[in-house]
Amino acid sequence: MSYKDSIIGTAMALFAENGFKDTSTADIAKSIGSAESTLFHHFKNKEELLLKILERVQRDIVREVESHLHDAEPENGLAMISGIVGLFFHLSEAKRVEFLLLFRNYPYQLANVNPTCRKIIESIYDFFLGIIAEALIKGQQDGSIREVNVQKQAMVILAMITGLTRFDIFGIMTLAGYHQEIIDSCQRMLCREYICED
Amino acid sequence: MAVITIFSASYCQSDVITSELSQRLGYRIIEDHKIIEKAGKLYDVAPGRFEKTLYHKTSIFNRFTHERERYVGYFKSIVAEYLKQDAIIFHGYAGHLIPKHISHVLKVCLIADPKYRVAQAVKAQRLSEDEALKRIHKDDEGRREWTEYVLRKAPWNPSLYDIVLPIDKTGLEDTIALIAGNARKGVVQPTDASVSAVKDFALASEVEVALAKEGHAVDVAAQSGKVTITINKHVIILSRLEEELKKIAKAVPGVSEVETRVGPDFYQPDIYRKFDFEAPSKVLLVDDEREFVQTLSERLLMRDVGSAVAYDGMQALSVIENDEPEVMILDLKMPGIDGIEVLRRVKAEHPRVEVIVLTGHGTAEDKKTCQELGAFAYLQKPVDIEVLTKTMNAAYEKLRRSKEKK
Repeated sequence: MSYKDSIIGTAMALFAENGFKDTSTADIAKSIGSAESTLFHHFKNKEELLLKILERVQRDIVREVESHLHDAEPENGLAMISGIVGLFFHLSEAKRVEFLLLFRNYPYQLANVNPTCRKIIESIYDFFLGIIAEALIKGQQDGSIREVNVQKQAMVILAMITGLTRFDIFGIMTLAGYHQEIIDSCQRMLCREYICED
Repeated sequence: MAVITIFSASYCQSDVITSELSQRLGYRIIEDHKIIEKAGKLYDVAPGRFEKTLYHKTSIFNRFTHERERYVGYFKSIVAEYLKQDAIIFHGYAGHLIPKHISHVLKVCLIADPKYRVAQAVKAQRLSEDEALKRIHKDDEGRREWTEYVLRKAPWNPSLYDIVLPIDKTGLEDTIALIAGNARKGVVQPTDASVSAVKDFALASEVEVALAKEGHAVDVAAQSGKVTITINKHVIILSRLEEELKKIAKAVPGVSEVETRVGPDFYQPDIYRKFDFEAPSKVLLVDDEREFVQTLSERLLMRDVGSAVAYDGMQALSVIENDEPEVMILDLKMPGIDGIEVLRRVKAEHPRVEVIVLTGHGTAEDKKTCQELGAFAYLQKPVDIEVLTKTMNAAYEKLRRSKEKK
């Protein structure tokens, strides 16, 4: 791992755990065991560091999801939706730090003023919306999913699963035992008949 | 012929004035309730409900239903239809929805002293003076609420009208004559441009209605079939929103092209800035090279520094008179009052302002003069934005310390 990588990894963990504002560049340097000036040699300031972290989070998540999707062979669009929902919950555990960072307020505040930051975060959400929409379209074609407004339905599904993930990550409630219920809910929402046969 | 709009404070005899004008000029009067009735029929809303939603404070449920935005859109589209006709007086709130660049509209506002209005109210409604005053306050509140909602301005703001007439001082007859006289003037007669502006307004209203029906409250403008939608509310997933807005707008007949753009409020420096006490919030940039100074202003904004811009010494001095900046970035070589003179005057009259000189052609002597006059720093163009930001923050730090000492 390069020095730059270790800065990114350490800073990501600190930002995710303690928040951006409460993490100083001195804290980051201390955790890696190097001087603050070395840090500034690689990154202009804390903000740029955050942008680099977000870029990396975006790349990692996309890569990981794509490799899983590549291996999966769902029988139809509806099954694909269940797969994506399951994968999302799996990721939220496997990539705890990344998800925690994405649930922090600071990246969104920065996105409010910084177009680069907005575009990186947008591309993460856009990616998930894209794969959900693709599954919905497939489902409508193969008949497993009824007619819905694809874009809006994708947004509702993504909002539901991120909302639930937040519950888990912030310790509001554990999602253990909920996975089946969530997948069933999606199916009830999407399948052809309002009352699905079990 | 011109179109006249009459907006009035209550009890200013606007009914009498409007009907007299209509007779003298041969104009048709369109009252708000007529517009509401027509819109209600077209869009299937009961007039009572329409009126209530349109005029009264936004309901807490509006956030979800966007009923008010929708009804204002409906109202506007009917106003636009009427505008296509000639010889019309709009009496009521309609005038506030007509854009300024439709130049053949004469916008009139009638006002009067409270004393006059109370007297009118007592006479007309047989109220006690107290009751009359209460009613007038309530009426004013309603009007304020309306213009704040549609224009974010106070109802009596003169910039909303071509003429504001105090009926108690001007008198009934003179008021009518003044309005009629102005309506006959050349500047308010329809031109090709103003007639096509009406068509654009009508199309923009229709698109606004289509968007409002789907729950979107955004600014819409049109120019010969080309529609521009401005998004002011910040969203992260912008591309999806743009896609959806475009899809809705394109479905409106007469729309040939749709463009979306983000408005000035989309990126909000304020939210972020309140966390950052190191950077100044009031910076004045003075430079006659417009392009340079605008780029600099934008780049500073990206760093959460809000700045005002002046293009010459005179402008700079007048900005400082009205609103003292914390830090000023000043070019030396400018037409008229040059940078050194600006520096001299600023340091004499507003010693707290920290001045950073930023110049492309400064001599060693210039540098010395600037330092003697009390400039905080002297930088050469081209300047690294990092260096400039640091210098600005240091200047601000100095100012803040001196404020704390006091």
